[in-house]
Amino acid sequence: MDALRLAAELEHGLMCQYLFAAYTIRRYPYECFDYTWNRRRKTWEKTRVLSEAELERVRRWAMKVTLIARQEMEHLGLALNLLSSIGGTPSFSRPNMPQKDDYYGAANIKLTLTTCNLDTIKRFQIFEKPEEIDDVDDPKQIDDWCKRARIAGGPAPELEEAPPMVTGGAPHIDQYGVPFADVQQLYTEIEQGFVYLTRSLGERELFIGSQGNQVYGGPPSPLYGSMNDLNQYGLSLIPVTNLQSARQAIRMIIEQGEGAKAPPSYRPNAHFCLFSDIRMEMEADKGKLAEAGARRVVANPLTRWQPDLTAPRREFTLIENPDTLRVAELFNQCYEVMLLLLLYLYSDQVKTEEQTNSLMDAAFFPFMTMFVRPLAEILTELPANDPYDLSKMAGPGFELAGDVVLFPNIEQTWTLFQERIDALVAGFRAVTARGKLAPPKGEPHLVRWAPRHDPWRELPSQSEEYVVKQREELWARVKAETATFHEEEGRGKVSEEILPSLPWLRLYYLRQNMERLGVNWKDNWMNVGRTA
Amino acid sequence: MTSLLLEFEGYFQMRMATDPDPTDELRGVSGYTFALAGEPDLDAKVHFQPDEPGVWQRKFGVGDDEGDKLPVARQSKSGGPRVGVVVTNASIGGNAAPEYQDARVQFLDAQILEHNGVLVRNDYFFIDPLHVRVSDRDGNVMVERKDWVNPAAPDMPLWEATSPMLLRRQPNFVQSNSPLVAAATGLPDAGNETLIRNREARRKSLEALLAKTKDETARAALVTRIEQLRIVEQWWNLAVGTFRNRPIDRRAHQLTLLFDGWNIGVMGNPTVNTIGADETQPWPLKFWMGGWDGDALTGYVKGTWEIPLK
Repeated sequence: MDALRLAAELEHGLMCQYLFAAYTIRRYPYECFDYTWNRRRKTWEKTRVLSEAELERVRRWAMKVTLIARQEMEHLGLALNLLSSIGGTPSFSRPNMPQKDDYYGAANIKLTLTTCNLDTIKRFQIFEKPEEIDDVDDPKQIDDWCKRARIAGGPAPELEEAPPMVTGGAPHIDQYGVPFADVQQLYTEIEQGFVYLTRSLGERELFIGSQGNQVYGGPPSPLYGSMNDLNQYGLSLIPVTNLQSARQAIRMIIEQGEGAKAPPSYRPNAHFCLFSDIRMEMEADKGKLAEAGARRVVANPLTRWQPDLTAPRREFTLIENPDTLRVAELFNQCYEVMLLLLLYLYSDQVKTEEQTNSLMDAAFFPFMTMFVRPLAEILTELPANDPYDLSKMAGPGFELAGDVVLFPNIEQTWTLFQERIDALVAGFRAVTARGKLAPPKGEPHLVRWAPRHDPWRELPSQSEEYVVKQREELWARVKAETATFHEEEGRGKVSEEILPSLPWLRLYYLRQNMERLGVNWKDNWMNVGRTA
Repeated sequence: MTSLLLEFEGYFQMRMATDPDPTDELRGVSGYTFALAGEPDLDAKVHFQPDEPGVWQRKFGVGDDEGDKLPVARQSKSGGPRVGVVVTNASIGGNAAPEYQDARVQFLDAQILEHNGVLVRNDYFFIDPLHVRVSDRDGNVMVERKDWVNPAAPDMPLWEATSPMLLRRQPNFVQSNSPLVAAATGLPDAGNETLIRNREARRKSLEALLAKTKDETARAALVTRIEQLRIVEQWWNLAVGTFRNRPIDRRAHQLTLLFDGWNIGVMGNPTVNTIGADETQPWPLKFWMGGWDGDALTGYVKGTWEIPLK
């Protein structure tokens, strides 16, 4: 169980790192330019850094890194299914980032959030390195593994019957007492553990957990065949009920990650090979496109110092811009609620199939896709500190204030969700206070939430008339919606003269979505028109 | 009472983000629909006519044109879909009404909404706004009427819609591998093999186009499209099937996915009425949407609008 908890923690940590990197990749046409504030002239000056074709190339990197991150979510889910299957307590706990280099001993897994550049991709490549590769800097080895499949293939070897080393004395010991030099080895140990314990205890005694306390898609899922079947989004989540499914889950993790034991035809899609492809593309111009293609996001942007951090102070940035800080706090809160929803699915609290499906929907659609991700993206377009310094933008810190735990009673749990959502509604109202939209006094060049002028208008691929019309319509709708201000917005009146920036409009959209969720969440969530 | 019955059909465009991208995504990353290099942002609106702002029609092979003002046509030169929903048959009291033939139908600014589960779930899309316009071949508006989500409060924000209000604007059912859609879009059948072959043929057509394309921006966009068209099976799904026998991917599957049973009595105040329609009655609008082509960002719509006459 310790090994599985460690595996879940690792997968969770990798997923956050991959997501952070993916969110830092530019993709809006206006991001073909960098903007710098000329203090003497008091104007924003722009420099082209990407062509539209290059922007398309870096978007394809983002697509790959995002897909890998989703599959890390799958691996996290599979690790928790494995844990749940043997009666363990699933957990989303993990250390905050950054941590010291040897946090996981010699496993070479650094916990840190960095932009998607060549160094970052090299780090990711090492995370996913198969044991069969000695040197990730050797293109021939990588080509053999990923493209020509000379090294591996064939059936997996039989496992040794010796018990796994699940307690102390290992060369790469960590706080769990689970020895591992890399992720692949950890899962090999786990697989050996399952085989050994099945043989010594028997399947019935080992797999005592309920399938109802697992998250999965595909044929066993009631959502199979529907648009909300998780397995159609690049995932392959299965339930674990016996040794065969346990081994299948473990094998899927290392097939998708390292490509080990995978059919040679699958290898090019393994995480290691996808990262190797990106690295090769980045190295083709010595990392120049990678540098230009990433938003200028600081490493490890945090809302506050977290007591479990072990990395030196220079490795993280405290967000000081007050507006950005509030958005970052909202992100952390949404992230925590999403984890709570997921944890509930793994809990043994009484829940009907309908409730399970509803909560699964809630966790993935909308919390993960409509709040966590947009907030993360918005943060990478907001200044970490000085609003005139666009070379230091913020980002999602994925901060956890402690363990993510549920109340033991189901009614308390519903209340807990409602309270959290109410707090989020208040938070969104505060950050989108319409009366505060005007630029700060004496700084007319600062458009709140995106301190740049509107570069959309100058790009040939963007119809000026159309883009401006869209935003004017959105703004008109916002202004027309209500004449009253919520308490959280403070006093003021809607500014007539300013056209809000895209990040602000996105925040307002999130606010509306959260307000909708917040209206008697429990009842409304179960009663939303036709669902099947 | 006599009614005018308008039968309409054709390809529409909907440049919207797809799951798991958020619904306000403007360019596309984790779904399979994108605003590609050189194209305007995704606007998430349903466009029935090619000259509506926000339309961008792509090339599907050598010899095709692209852009935002291509004429109404059922297919491009290379066989791809072209936007244009028109009246294909009209009758009054059972008698032919040829003056309405080829009239242009529009759902002005309509969006197919779900907000990833916030508004409705499981992709039982809610259509809003529903503002139907019929114009003659020259573009002169003949009749136009808007439907209200809540007739008692037409300005009510969508966020306050109750479940019955949502139900009224949702389809009744969703059907995979629909022969109805296959027939409408010219596919020989609705089987998965046919759908996969269709995507492979599109990919090959784009590869030929790429070989003749010099412009770097256009080439970059084509590379992304070709990469997406390679995904016809769930290659990542290691739990079901075997290599080259995985479940069909949504990029191909949705070519014959049917959303059917929209049946809405349009009942707001008509804004244009040159045909002597009875404005005191609701005007029943029945239609289906389907045949979603994620590469073209088009779908097919077919339906009827029954307008009681005074």
